[in-house]
Amino acid sequence: MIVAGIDIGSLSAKSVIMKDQEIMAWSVIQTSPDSQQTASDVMEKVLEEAGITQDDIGYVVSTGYGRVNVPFAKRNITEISCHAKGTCMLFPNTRTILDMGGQDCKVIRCNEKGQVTDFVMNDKCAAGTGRFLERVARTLGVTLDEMGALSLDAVDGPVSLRNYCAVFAESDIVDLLRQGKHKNDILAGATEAIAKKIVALMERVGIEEALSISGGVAKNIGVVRQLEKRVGMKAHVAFDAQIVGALGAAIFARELHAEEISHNDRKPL
Amino acid sequence: MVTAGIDVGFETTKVVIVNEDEILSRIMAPGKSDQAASVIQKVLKEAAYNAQISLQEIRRIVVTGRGREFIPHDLKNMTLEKISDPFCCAKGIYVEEPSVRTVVDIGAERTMVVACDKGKVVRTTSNTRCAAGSGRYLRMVADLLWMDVEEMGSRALTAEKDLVVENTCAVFAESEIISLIHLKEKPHNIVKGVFNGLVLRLYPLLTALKFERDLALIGGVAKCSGMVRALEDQLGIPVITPDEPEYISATGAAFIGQQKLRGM
Repeated sequence: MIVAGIDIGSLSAKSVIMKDQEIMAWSVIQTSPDSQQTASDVMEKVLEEAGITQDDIGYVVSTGYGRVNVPFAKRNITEISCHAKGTCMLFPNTRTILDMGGQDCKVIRCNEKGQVTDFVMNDKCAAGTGRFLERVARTLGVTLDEMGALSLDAVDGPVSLRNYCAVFAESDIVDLLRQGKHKNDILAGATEAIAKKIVALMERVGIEEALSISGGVAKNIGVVRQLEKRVGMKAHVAFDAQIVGALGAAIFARELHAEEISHNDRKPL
Repeated sequence: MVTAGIDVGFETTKVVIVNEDEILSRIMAPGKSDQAASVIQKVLKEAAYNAQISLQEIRRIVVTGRGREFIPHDLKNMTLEKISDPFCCAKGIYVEEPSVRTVVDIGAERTMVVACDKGKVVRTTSNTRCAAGSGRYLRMVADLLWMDVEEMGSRALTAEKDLVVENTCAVFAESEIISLIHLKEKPHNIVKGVFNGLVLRLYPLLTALKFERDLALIGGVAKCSGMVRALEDQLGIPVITPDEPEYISATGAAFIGQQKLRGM
C-alpha cells in the first residue's frame, strides 16, 4: 500500500510518500503564491524521488495552512493532528510537541496513542516564530542554515535585545552592529529572545516529558539548545524536522486507505 | 528670556526656541537616538541661528522624547534638564490648542495617549513593545506601495472600499498587504485598509484612558489626512491636528523651561 501526505505551510511545502510502515521519499520546496501549483510541484518532486507515478498512490491526505487547496487530496486534516501523529511514530514516548513554523508556533500535548489532548498557538505576533529569525538573519547577512551554529559560538557572550517585536528587533540589531558588537553575540541574544517567548507559550499548556521539536525552526541548533536549557530536558528532533506534519498526514492516509479497503471488502457482492 | 525644547525621537530630533511666550524657531533633523548628542549640538546651533540669537542667550534647555536616555546631562557647558514625554506633550498642546483634553501621539517606535487638562497630565498610557500601530509600520507600508507617508494619507481619501488590514502584527500585516497587491487591489484601497487597521489597534489604548473631547492627533502621522479621517470615522468625533504636529512635545519642553525660569 503506497500513500502520500502533503503539508502546505506558509513558507514551505512538504511531501512524504510511505509504503506500508516505511518512508519511501520526502521533499521540501518553497511555497509560491499559487497554492495549487505548489501542491502539484511538491507532489511531482517526491514522486520522482520515490521513482513512482501518481497512479501508484492509493490515498493522499493534505494538511497545513494551504490544505484546502490540494485538489488531488482525498481528505484534509489539521496540522495539529498531523504533527501529533507524525511525531508519535518517530518518538512514541512524546507527550509534548513544539512545532515552530515560519509564521506560527504551536505547543501540542498528546497521549500515548498520538492523540491531541491540548494545544496552544501563537499566530498573532511574529516574535517567537520563524519570521523573527528570518528577519534577524537578513539584517545580519547570515543564512538561516548557519545562524544556529554561529549563535552557539558567541565571542563575548550574548547581548540582549531591547525588544521582542520582530520589527523593532531589527532596528536594535542595526544599533548593536554600529556599536561594534560581534554578530555571533547578537545572534546569541536574538536566540535567547525567541526561546524566552516560546517557553512562555509552552508553560501555558504545561511541559511533560518527552519533548519533541518539529518545524523549520527546529533546524536551528542554537534555538533547540536554548530551549533545552530553559525547560531542563533533552528534546527529540526528527531527521528532517520540517516533514513531521507531512509524515503525520501520510500515516493518516495509510489508516484511511486501510479502512476504505476493508469497507469495500465487506460490501455484499 | 530664551529657552529651548528638544524632543529626541527614535528617528528625528526636533528643536523649538521660545522667548517668553513667542516661538522664535522650529527645526527638525534626522538622526537615530543613539547619535542624539552630536545631532543635538548641530540642530541647536541651527535653531539659534534661525531665531537670530546666540547659543549663550539660551537660558534653559529641556530635553524630552524616548531618546533622552542616550544624552548626557551636560553638553558643552549647557545644562540639560530631562522631562518625560507626557508632561511636554500636555504642555505643548495647551500652548497650541488649549481646548484639547486627549492627545494621541504616534511616533516611530511608540504610540502614546495622554489625557490632559490645562497643560497638566491627567492620565497616560502607551505602547512601546509592538510595531503594529507605530510610525515605523506606516513607513514599511509606504515603502511597499512606493509612496511616502503623507501621500498615503491623501490617497486613502479617494478609496472606494472600506478594507481593514486586520493582522495585529506588523510583520504579518506586511504579508497581508503583499497578498492584496498580488490580488490587484488598488493602492488607495490598501492604504485606507491600513489606516482602518491602525485605528483598530489604537482604540483599546483610547478606551483604557477614557478619552474625552477635544481630541488631537500629533506627530508626523497627523499630516496623513487619511489617518485623521479614519480616526474621526471610528470615534465619531472631530480630530484636531495642530499646524506643526511634529513639534508639540518640543514646544511643550521649551515652555516648561520658561516656567522654570520664572520659578513656577
